[in-house]
Amino acid sequence: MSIFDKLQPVAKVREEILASGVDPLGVPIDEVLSATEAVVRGKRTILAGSNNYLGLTFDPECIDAAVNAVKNEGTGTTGSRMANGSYSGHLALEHELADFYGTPQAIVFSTGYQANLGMLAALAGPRDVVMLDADCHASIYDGVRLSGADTLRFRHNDPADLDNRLRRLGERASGAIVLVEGIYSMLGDLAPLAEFAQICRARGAYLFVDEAHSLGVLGATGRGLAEAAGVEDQVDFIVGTFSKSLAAIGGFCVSRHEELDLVRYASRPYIFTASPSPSVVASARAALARLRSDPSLRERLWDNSRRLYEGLQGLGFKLGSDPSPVVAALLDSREQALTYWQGLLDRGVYVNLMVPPATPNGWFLVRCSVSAAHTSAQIDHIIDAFSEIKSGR
Amino acid sequence: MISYDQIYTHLCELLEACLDHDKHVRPDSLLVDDLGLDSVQTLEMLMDLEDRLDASIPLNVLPEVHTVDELVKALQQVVE
Repeated sequence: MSIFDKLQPVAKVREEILASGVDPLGVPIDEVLSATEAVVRGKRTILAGSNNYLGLTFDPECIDAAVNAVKNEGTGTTGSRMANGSYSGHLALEHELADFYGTPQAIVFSTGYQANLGMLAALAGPRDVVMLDADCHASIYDGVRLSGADTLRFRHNDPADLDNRLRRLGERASGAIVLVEGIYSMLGDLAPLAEFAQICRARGAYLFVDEAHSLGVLGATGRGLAEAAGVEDQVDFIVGTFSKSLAAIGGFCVSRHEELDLVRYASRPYIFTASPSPSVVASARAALARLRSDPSLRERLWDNSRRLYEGLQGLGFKLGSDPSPVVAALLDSREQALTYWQGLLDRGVYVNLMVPPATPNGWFLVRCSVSAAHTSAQIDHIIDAFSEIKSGR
Repeated sequence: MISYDQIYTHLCELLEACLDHDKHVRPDSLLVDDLGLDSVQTLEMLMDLEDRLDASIPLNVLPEVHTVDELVKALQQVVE
């Protein structure tokens, strides 16, 4: 009997995958060349699964900001803001996020995962009810579990199902927290947010939206799905991340509720972890400024997204959603998905392989994410690679 | 009030619909080790059961149950 026995099911799946001669979960990146290219096992490769939506990881302004912060403030904060204080960058970033969203305040967390963990663990307690979309991210499930609240699921993107399940709660629906995402990471589909907002309002529930994949992607000014759907005034909490459009690492929450600041004092994932490093905060601030001042980034992202979507659709692939920067091809089996994933890598394209239980409905996905920094030639190369594998060339 | 037998019948129907044909559900069947239920199947089954019983069943019941019998008893308490 070993402490590792419980991991045997995981070991079995890993063995099955490795037996195919492919290791999609441990790809070594030899050298990063740009926002869209790296050297993988000695081969120049297009990065087409990195969630680098605005392509800002090599933006000169972001790099300069990070370099200056390292020189001026050091490499790390070495502790929590509760113990080591808030650097001017932390406060400025929170102020700029609140200004961007038009909210009274914002809280910055060290990762996007911790933003969900920290918010949900503090907001919900054992006597509360949370109702989450079945396809929500693991960080939401984990945050809810940490809270101890009664946890219920509703069918993915199904407003009628949400309403029915809130009805069953009776009086407990009032004050329940409903959790959804702006863009879902696996398939790239959008939540029907206006309908969800209407139901929450009618039932007295709070609406919590994770805009991790929609910040910088949706909305007239890039604030996300709540902006695009015209319901920002009906959303109670918006969580986002710095690790996608803002090309760094970290997370945040903004809220129209003045009491948001209280979360800092009740959130263990906020209190008991080191605060974001100065360079991370500085580059995230620079990226947010770029997002706000340069709408052409969003336009290029959508042009590239439509180009890839239409290209793969034209080849006959079944895709996971309407056009969005997440373009997921649905395949018939794990073996077929592995064949495509490895075939793409052999042709200089690195995408994400997604298999159950990480995927909804047990689907096998080869998932691409598009960047504003991709060139048209790179997008066409990705399409050509799919075409070659499909035709057995 | 819904009886143990009623919940057990619903649960067996849902389990048999999603399990391999060679798996036979008994009260003492272990959900994971005997029936091979994975985490996603478990969550989906719980949602289907909520619809059949028109009741709210929090995921919080799951960590404490290992067998079909334990799950039915836990559900009986929640549905009451």
